[in-house]
Parts: sequence; C-alpha cells; structure tokens
Amino acid sequence: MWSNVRLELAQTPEFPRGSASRAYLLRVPLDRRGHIDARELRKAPGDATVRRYWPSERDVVGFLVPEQGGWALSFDGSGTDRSPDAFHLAATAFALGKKVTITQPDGRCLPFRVARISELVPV
Amino acid sequence: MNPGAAEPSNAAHNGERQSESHLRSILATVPDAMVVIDERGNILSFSAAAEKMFGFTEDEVLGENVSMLMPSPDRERHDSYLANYLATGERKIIGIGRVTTARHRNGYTFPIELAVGEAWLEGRRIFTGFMRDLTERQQTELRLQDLQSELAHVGRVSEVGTLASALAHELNQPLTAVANYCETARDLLAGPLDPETVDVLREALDDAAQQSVRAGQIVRRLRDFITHGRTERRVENLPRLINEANALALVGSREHEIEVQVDLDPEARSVLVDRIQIQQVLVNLIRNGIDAMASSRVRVLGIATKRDGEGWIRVTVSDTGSGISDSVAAQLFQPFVTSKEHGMGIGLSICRTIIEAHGGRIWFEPGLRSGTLFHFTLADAEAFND
Repeated sequence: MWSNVRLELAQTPEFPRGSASRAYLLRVPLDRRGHIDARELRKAPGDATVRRYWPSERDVVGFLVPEQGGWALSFDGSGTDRSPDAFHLAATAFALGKKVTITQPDGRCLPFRVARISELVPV
Repeated sequence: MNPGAAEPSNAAHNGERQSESHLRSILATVPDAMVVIDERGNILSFSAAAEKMFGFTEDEVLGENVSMLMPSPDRERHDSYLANYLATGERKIIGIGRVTTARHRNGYTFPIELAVGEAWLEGRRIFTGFMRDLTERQQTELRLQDLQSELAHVGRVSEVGTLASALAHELNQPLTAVANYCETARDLLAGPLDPETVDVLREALDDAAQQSVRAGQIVRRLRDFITHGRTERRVENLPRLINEANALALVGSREHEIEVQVDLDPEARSVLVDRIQIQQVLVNLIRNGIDAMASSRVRVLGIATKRDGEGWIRVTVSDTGSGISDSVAAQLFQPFVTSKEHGMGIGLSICRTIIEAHGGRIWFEPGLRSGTLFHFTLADAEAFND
C-alpha cells in the first residue's frame, strides 16, 4: 500500500528534544510488515519521492533509489542515478515512533523518528 | 516562555509568568489560529486552533522557526522578510493582511488568510500572526464576498457557470437552425436541380451561414463579458500575484491533499498586466490541474516561472494527472471543449483570450512522467529598464 511516512529529527546533542521542523516525507509503497516494497516501487519508480523540510531552507524533492542495504535519497533531479550528494536510509520496517537513521552526504548520521504513517488513497 | 533567556530576578519572573498566563488566556479564546514569534522568527506561542490547523502540538514547535509552517518560496525567504522589516520598517504584511498558503505537517499546502500584528511585550518586540483556514468552501465563499472588490475574478469565475448555462441554451437555437438548413439543402440536392430549387438551396445555405455567425457572436459576447471592464495594466509583483492566485485556487482542495511545488525564478520579478485577469487565468489552470489529478495517487501541482531574457516571462502550471487525450488536445482552447464530466469547457478559451490580449501566448505539452504542463508568457516589466 502506498503511504506517506513522515520522519522527524529525533534527539541529538544539538536538539535534546528532537525537532519537528526538521523532517523528511517519504511517499513509498509499504508491505504488510512496514518495509518499503521494492517490487511495488519498481512498477512506478517516479512515484517514490522524498521531500526534505528544513526551517529557512527551500523545500526539495528527490527520489528513492534502491542501493546496497537500503535506499538512496537522491535530490539531483534525475531519479535514477546514485549521486554523490545523496542521503542514505538503511533498510528498515517503519512503525510509528520507531527510530531510523539517515546518513548525510558528508557521512554524518542523524537519528529520525517515524512521526506519522498514512495510507495514500486516491480520491 | 523563552528557555534561552538568562534567569530573571524573582519579581521580574513573577511578572513574566503573569503576562504569560494573560497571553495564554487570550490564546485559548481566539477562534483564529494564532502564532506568536520573536524578532528572529522563533515561535513563542501556538494556539489550540493553530495546533488543529497545522497538526503540530505547541510543545513540538516552541522555539522552532516559524518558516516551518510555510511552503517554499516563503519558507526560505521569511528570515529575510523579517530582517528587512527590522532594518527598514517598511510594512509589507504587518497591519495589512493577505491571502497566502501554509504547509500542514502532512506535507500538503492549504490556503489561509493571514494578518500580522506587532507588539512589545516585556521590552521585547513580538509579532502575532492570526490565520484563518480558507479551505472549507462555505467559509471561504463568505470571505470571498469581502475580498470581492479586490479579487473580483473569483466571483466572475462562478458567474461564468451561471452565464454559461444561459448561453448554452441561447446557442442551441442558431445551432439547431444551422442543422435544419443544412438538412434541407442536402434533401434538395437529392432531387432534380431546376433553377427554382437552386435558389432555395442558396437561400438555405445563406441562412445557415448567418446562423453560424450568430452563434459566434454569442460566444464572443460571453468572452467579452468575462474579459470585460477596465483593462488596467500595471507593473505587478509576479511572485505575489502567483501566491494569491494559488491560495484562491486551492480553496476546497484539502480533501485531495495536493502537494504544491512552487519554483519561481528570482529574476522574474515583475510583469505588466491586468492582475485580476492574469489571476483568473492562473486560478483556471490550477483548478484544472487539481481536477485532472482527482484519481491520481501522486498529486503534485507545480507552478514555475522563468525569465527568458528577451522581454518575456514564462509561467508554467503542471499537474501529475490523467493527461489530455489527443482528440481533446487538438481543439483544447476552443470554447465548450472539455475532458471533464461536469465542465463547460469555457475556461481555457477565456485563458487564451486574456493571454493573447496581453500580447503573450499560451500552449501546453504532456508532462515528463504524467499529467500536463500549461505554459503562458507575459511581458517582463523589467525588460524596459534593461
């Protein structure tokens, strides 16, 4: 089932309470266990997007590209290549409140919390 | 209220607490969503109505930059809007109010009416934003009546519906007549063509031609009505014109959870146009886009501008909808051609009339992955100064 998954920054030394304004919004097909469904995604790779919301920064939209052990969040616009500027998300099952890690292009890892999962239903 | 501030003295502390509880009691009773920020844009308070409107709790947003509640391009510009105001005192929103868009936690964009007030509290300058959600139609229609003098086009768009059904009826007459005359002519052609029959034939075709001219006049009258009135071209701020039209077009769209991506060329600042008419075109194109995406899983509406450097600015409205079939595409800008179940097909022909009256052009192409891109061009007001 295609779903919107909102990830918000979890506790870090800089943000001891986390930060709801630093977020990624994934639009992905999820299987019953909450994993990204790679087979469904292959049917419509252009639909699997990631939006990055950071305060005072422009909204950016990228694509999820499968890679070894997880997913590249590619913001270079091509939606196909694994660009060196990509962010990385390790394969995981999404569940409300669960922590996931996103690796920045510079190698720094930031913890995020699954803040919301909602199914996408055409009107 | 400000965890980052130095520990105040006891008396001051009590005073602060008192004013804070006073502020809170006001916040709890205000029906509009209310957000208080400091000079740097950090959120100091977030009313219960704001929690409902944006999907964040007050606890989650305290101390965050208020830009988190805005879509681009306001999101990345808000810090400079604030800095600009603090430096120059020039008011662009404070005490004025406007229709704009906001971003829900779930990612979608929705239209709001925003008013901002400025105040001093405990020696600190604060700004208070009052927001009213314009999503729900009923509420909005009331609001739109107030806004009508300035945004008359929205009223016109709905008048068009009423007018169109009256005109469709009126159009039926000449069209039926044309059909009758043509059928008569065809029947006459089946028999022997003596001079008398040829005369009748000629007469029937003349009448058919006349009736089709009349049908054309009716359509022209409709267009005149819509584009009627003072055509006042002024130099207008394009990003603002687009933002306002976008907010109005999104009215009633919340159930579709439309994702709006605005990508404005910083060089495309001003255009020489009749603002109301161009907003009418934008509202039309955006609503068409939203309608086209009704059954799509991905509902991304894009609005982009691009300055071409030769005196023109191109505005593009894109959707990820069902696209346009070839049969409809061939005559899309003709009146009464539509791919919608409940459409009159008048919108795009009006859009073309307006854009061509401005000296620009309007066209469309299929989107890269899905949907449709509509482009139109406007005269770049800054080209005259280059």
